Amino acid sequence: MVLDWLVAYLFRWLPRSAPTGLFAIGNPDENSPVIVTANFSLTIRRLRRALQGQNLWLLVANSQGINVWCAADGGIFTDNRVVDAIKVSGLVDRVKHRQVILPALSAPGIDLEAIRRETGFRARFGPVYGKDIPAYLEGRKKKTEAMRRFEFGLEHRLDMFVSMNFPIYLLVAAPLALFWPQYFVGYTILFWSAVAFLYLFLDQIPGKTGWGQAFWCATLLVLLWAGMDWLLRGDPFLHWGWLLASFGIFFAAAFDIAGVVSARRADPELLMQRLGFKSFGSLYNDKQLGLIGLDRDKCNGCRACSDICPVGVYGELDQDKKIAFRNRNACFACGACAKQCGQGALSVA
Amino acid sequence: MSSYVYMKILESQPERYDRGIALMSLGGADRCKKKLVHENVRPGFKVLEIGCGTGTMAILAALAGAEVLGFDVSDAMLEVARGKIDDSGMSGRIRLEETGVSGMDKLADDSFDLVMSTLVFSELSHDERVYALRHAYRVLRPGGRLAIADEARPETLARRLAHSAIRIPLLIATFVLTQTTTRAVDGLSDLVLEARFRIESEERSSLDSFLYLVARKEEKE
Ligand SMILES: C[S@@+](CC[C@H](N)C(=O)[O-])C[C@H]1O[C@@H](n2cnc3c(N)ncnc32)[C@H](O)[C@@H]1O
Ligand code: SF4
Ligand code: SF4
Repeated sequence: MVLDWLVAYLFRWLPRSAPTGLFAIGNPDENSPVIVTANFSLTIRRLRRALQGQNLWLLVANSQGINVWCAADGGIFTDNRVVDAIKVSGLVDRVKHRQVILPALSAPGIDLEAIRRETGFRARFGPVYGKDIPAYLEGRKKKTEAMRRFEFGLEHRLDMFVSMNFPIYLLVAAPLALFWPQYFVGYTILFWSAVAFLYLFLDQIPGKTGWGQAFWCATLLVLLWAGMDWLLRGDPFLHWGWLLASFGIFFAAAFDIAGVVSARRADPELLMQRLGFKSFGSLYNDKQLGLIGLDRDKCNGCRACSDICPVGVYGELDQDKKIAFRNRNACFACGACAKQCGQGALSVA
Repeated sequence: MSSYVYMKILESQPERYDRGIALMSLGGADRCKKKLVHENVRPGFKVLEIGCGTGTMAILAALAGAEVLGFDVSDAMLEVARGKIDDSGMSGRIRLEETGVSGMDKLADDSFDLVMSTLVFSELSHDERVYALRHAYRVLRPGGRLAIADEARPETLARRLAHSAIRIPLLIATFVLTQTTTRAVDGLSDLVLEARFRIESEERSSLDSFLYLVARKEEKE
């Protein structure tokens, strides 16, 4: 059990499937709400914990073991999957109502209308986090501003801190432990202190890009280290191997740190864009960068976009009853609003 | 966005699917599709393909004279399939539909001569497998066949170990290059029997790791 959890946690980058289907949480009946999610094992575990004490149905759709957000944006967790889950599980015979609640972060992949057409169920997006579901249900399915937002808070950073960096750590730590055990402890300490420093203080470190920030940190460390060696031992390059390693470690840890820790654009992509690449194999293409754009003529002021944006890009309607941006630069092109806008007024460009 | 890069990789996966699967099966997947079509498709047959993906087998069946309805849950996979089907000149014989297995409930009883599927059941969850087999039985005409090929887990421990030794490095290499993975189907023949089929043959190949199963819906019950 614990081992299973540890593997799932440390290697959360890899898909891990949980069983799909309809599950009872507590003692639900035919009037109980239905919460839909994807079958990424870590999500299910957390959701079950958050839902303790509730009486409801948990409908787990098949996302091939990938988490809601990645799978929705990657075209794997889509309305087709929700339709499959509803029909295959026989939900129609279990509940009298015809409503299901989807995770907010599934919005980039979900066409609500298609679900209604195929199953008769009216789907809506609930909160971003499972932990908010009890309060959301209590409050008659009204979302507070906080329930709509993706949190780049301490918990998220800690999560990402361990699981994003562990595989990178292992890549070097494993050969070290096998062939050069004398460096293992030093590497371990250096690696995790560097990563911890970056994750904790990223917003305070000067620099525009994650790579730039990492570069300053590494330089500072190297200068201090070399300075100390010079003063105390008379040779600034006494530990030259470690000095080089510091740069390597900071860069490895910062590879996608801007995206992971503070929802800025990923550095590798920015670099490609700056180098003038329009696309790179099928890994990257220029179209997916950029900010959300609004075709004002098409907008009918329905606010579906401001309901779903996880970073608060949208504000109120303007005097013409069209949606207005509040903080357009916060957009990180997830595509959720564009997918949900029934008027086709939004696009990432 | 968190793990932005990973997501972008997934998004672009269908374009690399064919290459990935060829690499992972060392060319075996294509051989297997040819064999399945050769042994089960006759000119004029109406064929249903579950999870047709990039359309490779649907094209083979159409070339063998069948009329094919292929469905798949992923529109990106179907997009690749459309391109390949146009190139093959078989678009008149192949119809594609974007739906998961639950769309099978719209198909008429007794309306197909063959239901075929490769490397899909391993991606389905247990309840989806049961559902797909139930409807496969329903839509087949009496005497019609079900032909499935998929990854399976070898039956003896020794073979399982030998298989893992080859498969794991291959799996990692393939995932890194193409983000394609497959998982094994276990106990599929039991589910096929539970869906009232009669199993005609069950073959395992290459270290037991590939299962090829042909079953029939009885003429009269
Ligand atoms: C490994 S690919 C195999 C594709 C093709 N049959 C082949 O052999 O090359 C699996 C395919 O099954 C599809 N699939 C997975 N789950 C499905 C479902 N519930 N309903 C329909 N198709 C599904 C996927 O979209 C994918 O195209
Ligand atoms: S979802 Fe589309 S139509 Fe509705 S307010 Fe936003 S931009 Fe306007
Ligand atoms: S405005 Fe940007 S961040 Fe917000 S939902 Fe739309 S694409 Fe996503």
